[in-house]
Amino acid sequence: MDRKQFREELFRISAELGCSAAETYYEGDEAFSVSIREGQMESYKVAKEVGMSLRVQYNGKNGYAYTESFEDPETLVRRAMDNAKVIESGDEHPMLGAQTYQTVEPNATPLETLSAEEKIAMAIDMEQKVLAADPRIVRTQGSEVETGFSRYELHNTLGLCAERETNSAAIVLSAIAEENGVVKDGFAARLNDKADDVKGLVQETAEDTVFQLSAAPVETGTYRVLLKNSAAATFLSPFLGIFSAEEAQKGRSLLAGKEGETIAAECFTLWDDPFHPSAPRAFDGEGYPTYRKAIIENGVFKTLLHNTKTALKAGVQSTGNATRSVSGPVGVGPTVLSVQKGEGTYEEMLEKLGSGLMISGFGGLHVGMNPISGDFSIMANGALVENGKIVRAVDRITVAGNLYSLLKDIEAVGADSKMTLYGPIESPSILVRSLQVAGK
Amino acid sequence: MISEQSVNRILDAASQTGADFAELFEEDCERNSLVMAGGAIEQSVSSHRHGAGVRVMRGEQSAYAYSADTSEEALIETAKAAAAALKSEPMQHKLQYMKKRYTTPQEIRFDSIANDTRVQLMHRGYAAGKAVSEKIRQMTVNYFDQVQRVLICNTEGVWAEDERPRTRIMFAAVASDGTNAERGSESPGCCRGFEAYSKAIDVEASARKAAERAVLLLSAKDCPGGNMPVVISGGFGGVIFHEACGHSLEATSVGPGNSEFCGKLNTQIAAPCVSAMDDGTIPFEWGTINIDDEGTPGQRNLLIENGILKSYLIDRLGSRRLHLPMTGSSRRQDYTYAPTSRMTNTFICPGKDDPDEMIRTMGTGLYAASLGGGSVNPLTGEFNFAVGEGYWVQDGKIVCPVRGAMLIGKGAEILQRIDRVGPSMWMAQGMCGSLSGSVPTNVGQPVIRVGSITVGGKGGAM
Repeated sequence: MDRKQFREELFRISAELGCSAAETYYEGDEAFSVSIREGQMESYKVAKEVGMSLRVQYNGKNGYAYTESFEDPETLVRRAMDNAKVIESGDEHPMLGAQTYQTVEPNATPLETLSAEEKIAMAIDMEQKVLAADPRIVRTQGSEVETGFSRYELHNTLGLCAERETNSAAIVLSAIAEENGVVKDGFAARLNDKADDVKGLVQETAEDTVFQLSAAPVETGTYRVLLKNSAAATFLSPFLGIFSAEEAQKGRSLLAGKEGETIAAECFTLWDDPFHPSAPRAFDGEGYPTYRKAIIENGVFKTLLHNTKTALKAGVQSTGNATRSVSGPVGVGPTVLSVQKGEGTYEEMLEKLGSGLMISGFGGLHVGMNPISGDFSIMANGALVENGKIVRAVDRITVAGNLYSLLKDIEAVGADSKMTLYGPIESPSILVRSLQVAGK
Repeated sequence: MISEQSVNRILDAASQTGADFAELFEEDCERNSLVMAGGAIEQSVSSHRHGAGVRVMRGEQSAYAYSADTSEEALIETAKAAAAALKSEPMQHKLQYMKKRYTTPQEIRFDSIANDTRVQLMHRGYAAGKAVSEKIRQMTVNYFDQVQRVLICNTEGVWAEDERPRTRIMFAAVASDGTNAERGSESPGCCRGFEAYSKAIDVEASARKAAERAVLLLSAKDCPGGNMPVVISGGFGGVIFHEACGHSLEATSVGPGNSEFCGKLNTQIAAPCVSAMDDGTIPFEWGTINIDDEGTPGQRNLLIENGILKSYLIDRLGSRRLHLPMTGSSRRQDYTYAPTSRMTNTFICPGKDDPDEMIRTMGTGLYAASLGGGSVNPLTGEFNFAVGEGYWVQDGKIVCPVRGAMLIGKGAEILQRIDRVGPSMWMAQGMCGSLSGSVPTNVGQPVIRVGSITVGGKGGAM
C-alpha cells in the first residue's frame, strides 16, 4: 500500500489495540553518485530508499518498530507494542501535538539540474584538472560527484504534522602524489551550496597532497598548536555527546550541572544553529520548533541540549534538539554547530602562532578520543611553523591532551570558517597554548 | 523471495547496455535491539530491512542501483538505472542456475523467544558488572539479534540463498572516583541463535571485565609518549594486524595499485615469525560466512606464511583487476552497498615464544593488555590504534597501569619489527567500516612483541 494508507492503518490499528498515541516518522531518500578513476567509471550508484518508523505510546511507555516494506501494518504495531511492554525506565516521553513552524525554504544545490551524463562529465573533468595541476600528482583515488534528495514526514495521532525536504550535493577529489619513492594521498571536498567550486577543490586537493610529500615527524615534546579550520571542526565532532542532556543525565558528560560556569577561554563561542544555510530545518526529530542558541558564550557554558524527554526530567523546556532516524528511537544531538568567528585570516593566525605546529588533519579520530574524560591522543599531520612561516610538512605524530583543558587554553579564534565533512560543524582556525606531541 | 522468472527478466534488463555480468542481491533482515541504562530497559526497537540491489559489470567498470521496493517492476527499473552507466550493445546471457541453499544451525531461533528473555539476560550482565565496585557509576548494556536472509543470483549461474543469524551483547562501564571518569567495554558476539548465551558467551564474565577495566584506569597514570618496544596481548590485540596489514591486502586497495603491498606476492613482507590467516569458515564465529555477498563459499585464506605474502583478499571486481581468483571475501553491510573485498576472521597464527620472557627482556616500554579501535590509510600504510588497558614496563617489570596511549606507525615497517609471537591465539569481535559499509569481523593473535613503535600519550617521564 502507499505510505499514506499504511500510516492511516497503523494509526487505526494502534488505537484498536489500546495504544494511547501513535507516531510515524517516514524518510525517503534518492541518491546518485559517480566516481571516476583514470578516466574510467569506477563506481556508479543510484539509490531509492524508504523507511517508516512507528512509535507507540502504550501504558505510558514508548515502543518502536521500523520497516522498509509497507505491507503488514498489524505486525508492525504489535512489534512496537511488544517493545513498549519491556521498557523499565520510568522516564516519561510524551508525544507533541500540532505545532507551528517558521517557513524554511529547502536548500538549493548547484548540481540539482545536472543529468547523470553531466555529472559523469564533471567528475572526469575534475580528475583531469587535478592531474594537470602538478606534475607530482600521478593519479587519483577517485573523483566523485554525488547528489541526494531526502524527504522527512512526522505525523501522530495528537495532530502533529511536520514535513520537510533537503537537497545535498558533494564533489570529492582524492589525489596521489609521488616523488623520490615517497607516495602520499590527500583529499578535499565541497558540499551543498559550494558543490560547484571545482576550481577551489582542485587547487586545495593538489596543494595539500603535494605538500605532504616532504612530511616527517617532529621531536617528541610540548608545542604551541594552530588547529587549521577544517581540522578544528573535525576535532570537535567526536565530543558532541558532552553537550547532550541525555548523556549528562546518564553520568556520561562532565558538563552535567555546569551551566553558568566558565569552561572555555573568553574568545570561544559555540552556536547550535538549526537555520544554518547548509541544512536549515524548522523542527527537530520529534516535531519541536527549533531555534538558534549559544551552547558556550564567551567561554561560559550556557545550556545542555534537550529533547522533550530529557527536558521533562530536568524540569526545563526542550531546546529543539531531538534527533531521529527511521531505525532508532528519538535521541538528542546538535543541529548544525558553528564556532563563532574571531579575527584574522589563516596567515595572520600562523603569525599569532609564531613558532609551533599547524595541524591540518587527523587520522582515525574516533579511535583516540575518550569523550567522557575528554582525554585524547590522536594521529595528526600538518606543518612545522617558525616565526609565523611554514617550514616543512609534518606527519606520523600524535597530539595528546584533554578537551576541557584545551578549551581553556585557546588563545585566539580566526575568521576563516570552514565546514567539515564530519559534522555538520563549522569552525575557524583555533590557536591553542600547548599540546603534548609524540614523534621522533 | 523473488521468483526465477522475475530474476531472469531483471538480469536481462540489466544486460541491455553491454553488461558482461549482472547480479541481483535481495535481502530481508529482522532485527531486535535493546538498550539498558541504570539497570532499566530504556529502548527497545524492532526493525525490518527489505530491499534489493542490481549490479552490472563490463570489464573493470561496475555500477550499482538499489531499491527498497522489490516488486519485479521496481527491480527492472533498478536494473535499468544501473545499466544506464554502460553504453554498449545488449548482451545475451544464458540464464541457468546451480541452486544452493545455505543456513547456519540455530537451536533457539530469535523469533521463538519473547523480549523478556532478552531482558533477563541483560539484567544478569548488568548486575554482575555493577557488583564489581561501587565506583561503577554507569553500566550500559546494548543487545541485538538479527537474522538476515539473502538471495544472490547472477548471469554466471549462481543462485544462492543464505540465512545468517547473528547476536551480540555490549557492556560499557563508566567508573568514577569523584574527579576522574574512565570507561571500559566488552562486546562478545557470534553467528548463531539465542543458544549463544549458554554455549559461547558468558555475559557475567564479560560485564565484569568491562567494569574492572574502567575501575583499573582510574588509578592509571597518563602514558608517556615516544618510541619504545610494545608487547601486545592476544584477542583484540589482533586489531594491529587488521589495520597494519589486513586492509592493505584487500583488492579494493591492491587492485588500483593503492596499497603498500602491491606486487609483493611471494616476497618477505613480515618478520619470519609471522604467519597470518583470514578464515571465514570457523563455525559460529562473529566474522564467519557460509557464502560471501557474491555467493562464493567462505574460505580459509593463508595470507602470510613465515613472513612471506601468499594471498590477497579478492572479490569479483578485484579478480578482474588483479587477474587472480576470488577468495570468498566479498562482503557488504546490506543491500544499500555494492559488495567489495573485506576481511572475515583475521588473525596472526600461533608461534613459539614465551609471553613472560617477552616482557622480562623488553627493557622499558608498554604492555598493551587490551586495544580499542583503529584505522589505516592503505596507500601509505599509516595506521593508528588506541590502547584501552595498558601497563608501563620498566626494566622488564610491570610498574603501573597507564591510560591514553595511542600506537601509530606504518604497516610494512611494523610487520618487520615483530620479534616475538606467543603460543596460543584467541580472537575478539569488532565492526569493520570500509567502502561497503560496516561488517562484523573477528580480529585475533597470540601475545606478540613489536621491537619499536611510536606511542602517543600526554604523560611525562615515569
